[in-house]
Amino acid sequence: MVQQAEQQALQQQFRYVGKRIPRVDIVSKLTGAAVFAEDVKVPGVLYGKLLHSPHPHARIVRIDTSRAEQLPGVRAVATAADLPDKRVGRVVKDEHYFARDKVRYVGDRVAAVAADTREIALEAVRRIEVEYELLPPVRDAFEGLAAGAPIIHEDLLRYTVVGPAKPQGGNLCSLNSLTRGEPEAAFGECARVFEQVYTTQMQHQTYLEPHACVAVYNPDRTYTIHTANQGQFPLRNAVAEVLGVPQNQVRVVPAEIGGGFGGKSIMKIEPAAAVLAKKAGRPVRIVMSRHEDFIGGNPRAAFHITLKTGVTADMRMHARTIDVVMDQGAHAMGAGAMAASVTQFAEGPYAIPNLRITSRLVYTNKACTSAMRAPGGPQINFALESETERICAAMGWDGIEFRRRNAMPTDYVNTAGGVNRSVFTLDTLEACLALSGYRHDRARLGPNRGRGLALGNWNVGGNASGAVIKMNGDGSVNVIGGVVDLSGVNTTMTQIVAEALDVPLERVTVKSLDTDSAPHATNSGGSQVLKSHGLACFKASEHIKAQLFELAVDELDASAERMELKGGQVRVQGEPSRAVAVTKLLSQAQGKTGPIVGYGATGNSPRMPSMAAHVADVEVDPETGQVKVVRYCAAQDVGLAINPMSVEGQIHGGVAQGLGQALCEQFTYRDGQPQNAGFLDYKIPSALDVPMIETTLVEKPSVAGPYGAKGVGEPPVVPVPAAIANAIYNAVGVRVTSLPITPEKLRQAIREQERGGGA
Amino acid sequence: MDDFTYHAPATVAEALALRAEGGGAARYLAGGSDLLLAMQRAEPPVARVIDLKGIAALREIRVAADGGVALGAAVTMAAIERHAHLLAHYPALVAAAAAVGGPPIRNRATVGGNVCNASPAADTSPVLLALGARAVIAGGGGERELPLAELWSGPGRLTLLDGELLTAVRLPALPPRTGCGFQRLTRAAMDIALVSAAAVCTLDRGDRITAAACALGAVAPTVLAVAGLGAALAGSRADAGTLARVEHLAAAAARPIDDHRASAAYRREMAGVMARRAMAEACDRARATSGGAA
Amino acid sequence: MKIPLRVTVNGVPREDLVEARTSLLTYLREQCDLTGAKRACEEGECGCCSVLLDGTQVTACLVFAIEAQGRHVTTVEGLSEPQLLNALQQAFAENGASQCGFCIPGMLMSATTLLERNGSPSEAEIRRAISGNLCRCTGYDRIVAAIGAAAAQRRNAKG
Repeated sequence: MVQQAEQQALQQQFRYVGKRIPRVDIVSKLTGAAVFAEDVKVPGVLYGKLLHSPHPHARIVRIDTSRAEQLPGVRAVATAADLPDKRVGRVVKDEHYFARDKVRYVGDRVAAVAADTREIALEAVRRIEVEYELLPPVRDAFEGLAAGAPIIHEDLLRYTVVGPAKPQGGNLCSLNSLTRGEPEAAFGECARVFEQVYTTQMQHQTYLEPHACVAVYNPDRTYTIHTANQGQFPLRNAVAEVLGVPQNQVRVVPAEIGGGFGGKSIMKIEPAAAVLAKKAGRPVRIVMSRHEDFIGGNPRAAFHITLKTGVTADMRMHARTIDVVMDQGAHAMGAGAMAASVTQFAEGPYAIPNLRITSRLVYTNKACTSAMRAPGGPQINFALESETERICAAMGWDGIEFRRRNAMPTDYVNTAGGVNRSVFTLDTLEACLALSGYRHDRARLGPNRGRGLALGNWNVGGNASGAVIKMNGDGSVNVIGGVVDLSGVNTTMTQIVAEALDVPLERVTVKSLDTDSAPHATNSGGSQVLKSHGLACFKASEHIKAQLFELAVDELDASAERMELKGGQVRVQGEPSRAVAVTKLLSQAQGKTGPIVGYGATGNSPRMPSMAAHVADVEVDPETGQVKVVRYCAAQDVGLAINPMSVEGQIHGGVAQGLGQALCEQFTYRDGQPQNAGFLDYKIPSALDVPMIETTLVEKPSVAGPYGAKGVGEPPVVPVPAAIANAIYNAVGVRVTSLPITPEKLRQAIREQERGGGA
Repeated sequence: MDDFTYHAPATVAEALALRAEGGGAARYLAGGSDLLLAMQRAEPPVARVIDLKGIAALREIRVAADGGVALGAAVTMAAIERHAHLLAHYPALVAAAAAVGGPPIRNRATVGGNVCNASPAADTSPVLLALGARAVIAGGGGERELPLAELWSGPGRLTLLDGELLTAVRLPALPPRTGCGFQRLTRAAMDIALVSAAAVCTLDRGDRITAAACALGAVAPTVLAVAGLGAALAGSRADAGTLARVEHLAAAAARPIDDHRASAAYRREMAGVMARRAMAEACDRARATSGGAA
Repeated sequence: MKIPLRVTVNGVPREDLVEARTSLLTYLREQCDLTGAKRACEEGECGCCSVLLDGTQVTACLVFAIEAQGRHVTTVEGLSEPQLLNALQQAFAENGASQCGFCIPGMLMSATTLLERNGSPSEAEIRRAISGNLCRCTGYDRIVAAIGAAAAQRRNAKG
């Protein structure tokens, strides 16, 4: 009740923030008018197609494109020979855009063609002759670490490292570790020590829109690229690096984006389209097929997690070690950064005095894993929160009391040495218990039904971002950013700016513009946009206000510090009659200072946990192992919800993706060959697999974000697999420690229990 | 390079004539949900397609005086789902049809396509097989019929002679106190079956089985009838012990493989479970019907 | 070989020459300039390219353009007047049913088909009606709610 009153008081302060408004792009999205990358119209556009490696690991002996070039209707063919001979990469520079010496996974880029029609392009790709010398593939991370394993990157230790990865040689791309206290010694002080291995699978983002782009080579020797990517600036920089041109010569125009979830935060087909456009002298469109998008995508990495946990008699986790081995795939990409970040958030929602986290990121001959929504989060959390319940079951402890005693408090000094501000672990837990009636009818769920609880955290940072606001003569504003409108960014920014300038929503237009026009920003991802770009928009609004107040000094005969902007007027605080219309000031500005333009920017900011608590009810068919999720409740610590409808939508979607990871999604390889590169066999949840999702927002303002808001997109995927695993345990008494919990896996566990194995 | 032809004949005779022209390169198009998919990958590319949907006779569901049914080859899954006689008398077939893809796919996918694609996981095939359906085949030499089981020779392979066309699937009328059940197991709701099973049984007044059949999907190169099941069950009470025998016989009959969807061992075990549940459903329906309804 | 095609798209009669191999989806997107129907899997698995063919919902990726000969095709662009929302679309907007929006044209086709047949669909019936449409953003929650709200509104309007 207190919390509700607090929340109401919080929301009543604001006119536009905290309100459920439809997304600003909604009409275009509902009428088919929204222009996604494949919808971009460019006259004379050619069809581009890539040739991918059919082999997981092979040396390229020879590439002959002559038969493709001779095909009528083929306008350009490109290979590594058309690009500067240098390796690129965001973390470790370990990749030639087009394979040069070797191919390292099925789907590696070998060549590309541009042709008059799709059919000709497909035929041309088939006519490119590549002679390969096959090499044995590294099929998984442990194979990669084994003595005598085939080496995927022979020159690894000579590669340039630009991110937090720490290459070790062999196939070990990165070894990262963090320690607090003295875990080994502390295990000796514990009443009992638990050890368990958990494994997770490769999960694909499966945004519904496949990668697509159109590239134009302009008469002034610059490139224009329309694309579906999560960040026009990081993409531009990556493309410029591949092409070997200065960044100003590549203009990336963000199209509407049909989902990303991290999978569109990496350059993909854009350099190929650009080089083909230059060679052909005509624009080139490349649209990946769903098959290509699977084999050439950047899925979530499979983790092998070894947990060792020591508990004391008073229900406290006193010592823990977490050893993570990550199956990275052929190139480092975003996984290199993940390896480092995992060591930071793997402490989870708990305060454990003696802790060591070690992660090993291993090259394998598979698709290059990278960021997927809360990269690393649900994998680690599946282990942590499954283990919480396993420990409690073994000790006869109450899982809620255990969590209360071990919960991370706010202002906690994390393992990396930073201070976690505005952390509300227990408030989030209690909110979810209340929402779900956790204890109330737990015993009355019915046969083969069980209820599972999991906490989870995602550490939200903030990246450098700038925003420009132009105030027009009538007082309306245009907000310009370089942040892709993913998950309602433009709507949220509209609300922030409307609130800051007290301007009606319809007088605020927010656009994500191309790289020539917008201030710099980074990817829309990691839930960091609100904290970074949101703050930039807020600061740009403050900059506008400062200029208006300065203009009003003479008119109001008051100092700028005493002024406020309300309802289209600059007023002296506390004296509403001393006011001047903004439009009048804007008109005066033409003769004085010139146009009113606000600029706001933020630099990188530290990562701090946002908490989520989930409760799932499942029903298990013990004969088949099938699991039905019958109810789902999610609570989340969101600071202040700028747009609650949008925040709830993020939770709904996150939970559904988490259910996929928990129960049915798995991108599978056999001997380096993808087995299910399509929706026919890679099953994401349909409307029949997901229940209605009940949500509650814990609104306690954060010190970091605008209006106390926090990033909200990643946390809701994190607790899901553990909540489901715990619910299954409570339903049928067996614990499955590997994801996904397929009917077959669960049936096998139940059969073992029936034979007397037990859990 | 694009020499592709599309034909839309109005009669079966025209379709056969078109097929006879120009050798065997033409493919019949019934619904397209499988064929257009296959065409994306076909090597050499499919050069001719003969669309059967314009042939009115193939879109008919004809109910015979005795209650038996002839399903035209171009009858869609959606048409089956909405057909009053099928809903009343062949609910397991309706359930199988309703399991094929999402609504837009069921508006296109046809009985003929489902049967002739010859996938061992085809959803309607186990029900049709268990019901004792017969394939009606038109060819140069006229019409012939054969039991459905004899139509399939392997995954994606038919015993049809070159130029022949499946025009209908004929379901026999069902005796009184006969019921049919259909069960399938998937990894997610919208998925190809890992295992499916259909069962049919006829009960006497004393709840004893007088006739029974069971067919399994996705556990052998073709949809598979559980051999000897009818004889093994004849005279047994429709009780838990009998259902356990169904489970055992079905699991023993299954010849599954390991693939990325499931292991052979799991498929075999589940073939038994699905068959038992399908038979239980069939028995329940048999008891609930007094006349010729199934 | 190009074939003449006469078809009515969103109420407008058209005559075009199409390659026999061309899918209805490619025809709509590339020859009719209607890009509302989305290319997402080309396997009929995702429903993003759903359109109505003589009122029946189909996945346009698995239909030849020439199958539409003499028939009526409705795409998302044909559901409402330009720049305006019909009642169903309005319900999607108010309920926050669209996030990235890529699946939404297909979802709207499924919902339109459902509401024509069933004025009071249950949650289960709504879920079944959209079971052929994959969505990766919304968890389906608000889409189900929006369709339910549209049905209720329609009943109230009639009542």
